[in-house]
Amino acid sequence: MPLRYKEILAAGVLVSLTSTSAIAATEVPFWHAFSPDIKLGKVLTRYAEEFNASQDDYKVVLTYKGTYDDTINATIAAYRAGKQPAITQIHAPGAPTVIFSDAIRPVDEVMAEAGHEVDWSRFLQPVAAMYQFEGKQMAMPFNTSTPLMWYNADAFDKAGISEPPKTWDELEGAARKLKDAGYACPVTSAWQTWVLVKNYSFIEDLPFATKSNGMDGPDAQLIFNETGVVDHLDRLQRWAEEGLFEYQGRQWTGAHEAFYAERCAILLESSAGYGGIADNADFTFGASVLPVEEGNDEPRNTFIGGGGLFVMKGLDKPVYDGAAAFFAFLSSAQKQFDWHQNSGYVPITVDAYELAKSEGYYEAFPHQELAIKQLLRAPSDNSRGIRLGYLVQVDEIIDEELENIWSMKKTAQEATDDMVRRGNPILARFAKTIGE
Amino acid sequence: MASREKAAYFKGGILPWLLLAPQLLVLVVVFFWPAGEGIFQAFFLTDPFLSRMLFVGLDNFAALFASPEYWDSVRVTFVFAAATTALSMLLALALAIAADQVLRSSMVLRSLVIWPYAVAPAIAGMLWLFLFHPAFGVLALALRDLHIDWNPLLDGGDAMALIVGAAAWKQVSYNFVFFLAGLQAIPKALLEAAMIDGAGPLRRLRDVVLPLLTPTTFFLLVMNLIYAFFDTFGIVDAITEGGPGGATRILVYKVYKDGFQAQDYGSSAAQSLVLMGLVIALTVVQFRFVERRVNYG
Repeated sequence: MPLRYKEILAAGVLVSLTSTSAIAATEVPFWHAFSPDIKLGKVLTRYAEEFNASQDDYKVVLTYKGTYDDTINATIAAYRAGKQPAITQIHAPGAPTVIFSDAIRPVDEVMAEAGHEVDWSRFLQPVAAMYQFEGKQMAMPFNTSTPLMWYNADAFDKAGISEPPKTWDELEGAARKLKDAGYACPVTSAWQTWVLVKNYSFIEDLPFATKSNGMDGPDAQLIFNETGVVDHLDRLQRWAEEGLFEYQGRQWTGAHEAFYAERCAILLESSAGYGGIADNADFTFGASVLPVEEGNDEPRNTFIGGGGLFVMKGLDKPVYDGAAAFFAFLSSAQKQFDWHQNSGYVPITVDAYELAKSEGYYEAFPHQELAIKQLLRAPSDNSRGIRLGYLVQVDEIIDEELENIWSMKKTAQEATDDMVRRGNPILARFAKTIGE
Repeated sequence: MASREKAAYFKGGILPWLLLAPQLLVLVVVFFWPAGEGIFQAFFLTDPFLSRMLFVGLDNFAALFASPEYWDSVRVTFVFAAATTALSMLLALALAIAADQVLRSSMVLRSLVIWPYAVAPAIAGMLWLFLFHPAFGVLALALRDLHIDWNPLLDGGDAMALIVGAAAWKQVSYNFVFFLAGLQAIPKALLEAAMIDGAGPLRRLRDVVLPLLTPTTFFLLVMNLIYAFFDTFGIVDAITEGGPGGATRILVYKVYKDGFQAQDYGSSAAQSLVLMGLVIALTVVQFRFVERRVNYG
């Protein structure tokens, strides 16, 4: 009798297991760094809910892992323990580590195996290129921004500046006028390594590092101490000495606060800074594309920031099919237009951009189109992207040495030489680590 | 008598180990295992996903010692640790002596002083940043209005002062509690005897109170140095990120940054071994040379 009872129980469990798995959707775990308390997190949650409601086969399960650093560390730990999510959001500085690892599956493969046709040529080129390696699309671009020149339009009126400066020389003229009009800090920049060094190199078509800035392989070397970047930083040092440029810290908070407080009149900062500026500026503000050098008739595309979605190795086919279905959903023109409007990031496809244009979106929000226009410029080998290992350490070195420029401890040439001297051994370590 | 002695200890065998096992297990799992991994990692270049591990011998250490910036970090760390320890201990001692006079009875007030200790380092850093950031710090803007030159974003000395202030502030309450307990443990009779001998308050402090406080002071010295060396990366990360130009790039912050933000495990592990070696050496020195002057009464 007891034996019989057990058999029946086992059979019952078996039946209930198979029947639930037949109707339950395959779960697709997605780890990300957008707090559910902020707008970005809420928008993302809405997309997952809409996707889950739109079909019965897959269920995207979002998990907020904390900061970008927390997310990549959690992903690494989980992968090592065999408990990796299907999709994980990795920010730009962490992307090379993941791209050169054996832990991910190229997104184009995953999409193709699941039967989704993707026309990658319809993606904004600098955006898709950021995650391309050896002809493969290693990640789905996701949250993407690029810097703009934000300005206090009231200050421009007060200083008698009729239109936003287009070149660095014009910017210097404008800065002088703003100084005379009483602005202690005419120009400042958030994210100085990104805006003043990398984006400058992109726009002016100057190499930041060899091997197309590491895009063609990890054994790259920094070379921007031999380019126009040096003169550019030398000019900015002169501005700092004259009080035309004021440093407000490595990230964005200080620069934003000084802009809100109308101490700084021009803020070089990400297109994604719009939300904060719109909420906090008690003055009329405007945006323009980043300045170019006098005589540069063919400025290149700007450099992006933000994050991409990577697909981890070692999972079952249905999970990959679910991830692919979600990516197809997420990259549709309608969803990308919605994302563009609600997040402030740029859409990742040209189709979404055209949809936004046809809906008249840019008449109300012209600054949103500026970012895309910068990204639609033709890229060169110097502006496809930057993919350097241990980029966090390299960026830290650039930040430190830029501070030595602003505090007049070093000349632009000394500081950039030191950036390269200190940065190259780190790149060499990374290349050695991944066996190149 | 004999039976009592017998009951007082085990005769070896398996039982004591069994009784110790849970504790030992916890120690092995949460301490020796990760620490062992850390030591192991220091000799490798590692892809964080562990698909490749390359043995490099002492290369990770050689790279550190070849870098002038690393030696600069060592110097900065000693300055930071000494200043933080001195400031937090002196402030706490002054507060404890003052409190000893008035707070003897008030448990509530004494308990309130411990609060800063409960603040996480990163939050403490944020609080200080909101006060002293040149662009939006309330006190920094006040200093600017007074035409006092204050810019921790560009002046290394200002930046150091800021992280020392934040790190010391967080530790003052911890020190205060111990100093206060130490003061209250000093027998009243000794102080009264000194008074009868004609010793004024300062004389009593120098010749009676401070010598009797040396065990507490020594303990706090060791604890504060360990705190300053190991526990302060959150403060640096929130306030200066090691800037300007590396002026506040203390060793433990670099360990954190390279390990947890850059995923450069090999270098981070090597750096933490060096740091651990430094602190062990420092602690040994303290016990060998400073503790001799401690009066355990």
